[in-house]
Amino acid sequence: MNLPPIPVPALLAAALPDHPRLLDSIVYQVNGLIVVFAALSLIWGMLEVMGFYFRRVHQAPAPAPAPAVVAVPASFEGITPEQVAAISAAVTVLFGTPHRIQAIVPADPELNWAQEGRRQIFASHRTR
Amino acid sequence: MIQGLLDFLSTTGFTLITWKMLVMWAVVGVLLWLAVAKNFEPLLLVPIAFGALIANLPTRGVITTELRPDGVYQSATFKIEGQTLDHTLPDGQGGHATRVLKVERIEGGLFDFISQGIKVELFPPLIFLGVGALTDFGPLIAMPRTLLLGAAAQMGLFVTFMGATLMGFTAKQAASIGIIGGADGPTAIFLTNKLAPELLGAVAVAAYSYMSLVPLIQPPIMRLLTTDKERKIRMKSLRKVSRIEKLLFALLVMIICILLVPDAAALIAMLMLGNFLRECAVTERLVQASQNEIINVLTIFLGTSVGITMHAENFLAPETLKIIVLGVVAFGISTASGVLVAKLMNVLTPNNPVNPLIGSAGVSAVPMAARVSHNEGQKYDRSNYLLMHAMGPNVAGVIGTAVAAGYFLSTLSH
Repeated sequence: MNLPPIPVPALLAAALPDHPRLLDSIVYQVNGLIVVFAALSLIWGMLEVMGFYFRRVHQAPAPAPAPAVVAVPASFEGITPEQVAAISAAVTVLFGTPHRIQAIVPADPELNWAQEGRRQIFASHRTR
Repeated sequence: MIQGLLDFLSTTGFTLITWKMLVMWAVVGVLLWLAVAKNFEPLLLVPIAFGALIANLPTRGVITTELRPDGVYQSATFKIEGQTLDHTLPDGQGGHATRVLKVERIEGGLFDFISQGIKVELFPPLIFLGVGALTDFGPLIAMPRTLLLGAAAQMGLFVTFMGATLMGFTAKQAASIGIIGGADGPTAIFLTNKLAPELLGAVAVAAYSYMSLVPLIQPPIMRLLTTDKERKIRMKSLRKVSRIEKLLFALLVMIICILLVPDAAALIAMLMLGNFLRECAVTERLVQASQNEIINVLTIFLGTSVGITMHAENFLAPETLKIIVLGVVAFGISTASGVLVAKLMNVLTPNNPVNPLIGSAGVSAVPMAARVSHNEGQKYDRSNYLLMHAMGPNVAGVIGTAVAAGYFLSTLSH
């Protein structure tokens, strides 16, 4: 919709001559800053309300506590309990639900080149 | 034979070269050096510099420049030849007389037509469509208080307005100069074309040059106003923002801004249309077009059209120098205001501080200003990642500058 000329700005324009005095300029710039701050503060308020609502709606359930590592099985030989704890925590965060880790095996460094090749091949295709 | 050669020479452009043109060639050289050798915003500066070079060559069939009675050179004026025909409709079809213009010939150079994109204010809103499609407002939605930094960084616009009026510019010219402080090229062009088209070349070049010089201008001001401890402040991670929030944001911000400043409607509407296309995730082809083809084509046309306004007779005037100086003042004040308001926010909310370096990103040079904040922060703490935090005030600055332009337009253009 095309708005007709607005009377209030017309009044403002009339109040601000082509070469305004210092006081006119100061009043004009303060008004301008008020308009800018009002517009952005309004958006700020709107975003706070929106954020408050969506944070409540989308609040994720608290992740299940990671099962405590009671004993280190034999298949974890050569790996420190701290490393087992870190890997267990990563698995818990990644899958969310409780999982049992049956073995932790160091990757064979000989396979790295082949793995990287496979990774690049898979990365070049778009999964559907 | 010699006479024939002399006659030919008189038709070449060599005889039309003036010393002012040579000076402008040097200016073009500097702009190209900054763009190509220093990599300062080459996407903008190369087309601008090329346009400026074309404007300062004795060309034919490229652009028409005429000296107006008020002493200002007006470019991009094409001629329409035709005749007006008076028609009187029969009584049964209304019976009133109408006057019809029958166009027989349109005469003009290439840029007489391309530059109409600026004159009829087509390019800036369409550039904003691309900017919207490229911008992720997520960091702003996740941390909405950074909107204050975007608002604070508009302080330079208004302070410079006052400075420009004190230096003898009219209110409309002063507003066009002040908007340089927003570091938003399309908005500066949009506003200047409406309020002070005679300053378009100088204002556009200043705005785009300062946008490209953000990494040089801002860091000294940021370092001056912050302490080592403040520069190392780590901010809390941003929450994840859902798609529906982003869609609502685009719609609501458009409605609020247009209701408040209807004169900025073209800019805001296109910005948010581009953003809505991006976030709705069902218009991939349109987003691709907005992010790539549309904005790239328009950047070439806009840049060259801006450059072509840098005609030596217009550009080499004392007013241009004043505009360049006032522009950097506006930019500096905007940067400083953002940083200082960030420090003020830390005083008011000490439990959830912001790194004051992100305050300088309140100027709307997206994403250069945010990158500068991030790089400055990394100089003092390599593992402090401020980029996404700085994007909040950065995109808030785009909205803030559009609102400020709307204020200037609604109060000065009627």
